[in-house]
Amino acid sequence: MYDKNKIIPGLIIFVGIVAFPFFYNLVTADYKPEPSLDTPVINKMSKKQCVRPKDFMKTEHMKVLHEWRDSVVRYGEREYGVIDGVKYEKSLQKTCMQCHSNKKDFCDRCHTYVDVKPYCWNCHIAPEGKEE
Amino acid sequence: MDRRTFLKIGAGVVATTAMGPLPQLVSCLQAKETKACAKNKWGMVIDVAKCVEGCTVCMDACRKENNVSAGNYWIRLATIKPKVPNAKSQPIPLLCNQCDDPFCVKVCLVKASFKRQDGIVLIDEHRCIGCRYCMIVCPYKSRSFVFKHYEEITNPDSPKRQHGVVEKCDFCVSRIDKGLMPACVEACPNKAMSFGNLNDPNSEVAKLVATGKAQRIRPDLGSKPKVYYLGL
Repeated sequence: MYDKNKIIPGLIIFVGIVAFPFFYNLVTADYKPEPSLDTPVINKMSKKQCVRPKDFMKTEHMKVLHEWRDSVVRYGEREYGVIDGVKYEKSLQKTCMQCHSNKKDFCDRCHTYVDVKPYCWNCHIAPEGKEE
Repeated sequence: MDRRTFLKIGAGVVATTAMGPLPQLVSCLQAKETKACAKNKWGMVIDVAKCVEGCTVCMDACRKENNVSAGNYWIRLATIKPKVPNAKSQPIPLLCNQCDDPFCVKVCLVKASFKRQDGIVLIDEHRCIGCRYCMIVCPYKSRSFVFKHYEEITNPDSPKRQHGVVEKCDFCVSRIDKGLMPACVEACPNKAMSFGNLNDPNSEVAKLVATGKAQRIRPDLGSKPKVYYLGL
């Protein structure tokens, strides 16, 4: 290869500049979206728990909601089950938002961070001004 | 491949295809406890003679219960005229007739319109792309398009519809699943509307239909509507 001494350092510098933002953010990014659990209903709970374990809900809540949606709309199966003596209905508005009544500080924090725009709230009504 | 292997593979393919409807059957078995199972077949009988002229109670109740968009109707006053000589035109409350063989479901491109196992024709608003084929094909013109996002909420427990989908009467399906009557039936001051299970011979609607006096609107089209009218 001709001009090996120039081309290889040049390539390294080029890749370094292009990849700089990724490395920079790897080192410096410390912002984590922290969904707030500070709602009246959750504060009253003696044992803080969701319909499924926290880690599962963190990664799979959209799949849970999709399953709920399909089984409710298509088959009319509205009951999710009983956990610790409490009956849960498969409903975003009536179950999820009953505890997580702080959409802005719970749903939106992560959704804004990862820039996803779920269309739930185009039709379903967020509990704004209902609680607190 | 010899003939024997071919037949074996062919039989396997046919058997697998025949299993297609199985999930539906299984879900029906699972849904035994819910109101949505096939043992129920919801229908409505409206006694037009009991309707008072100018009354809009059922329409108002529907709008309030379902957050119906402005300008759209799930139940409306329609004027019908029987195809007989010297017939008088008559106003009737017209809603989705929940056909047993619904045209809207047949034409839906994305399977957003579907018939639940208990016979209620529903729109999965999550799926609807707003092509409006169903509106063209509906003999009762009971579907309407949501032209703009509707902000006014009258019932916070019930969802609204977003811009660009089709909406229609769903027999107040969330109320039925809870064991309640549809909002219009409950609201009618003259008890002109009755609602119930057509499969249950002891239900009020089944008895009214059994008298043979209840008529349907345009049954000749073959969509087998499940809303009956008395006193037409």
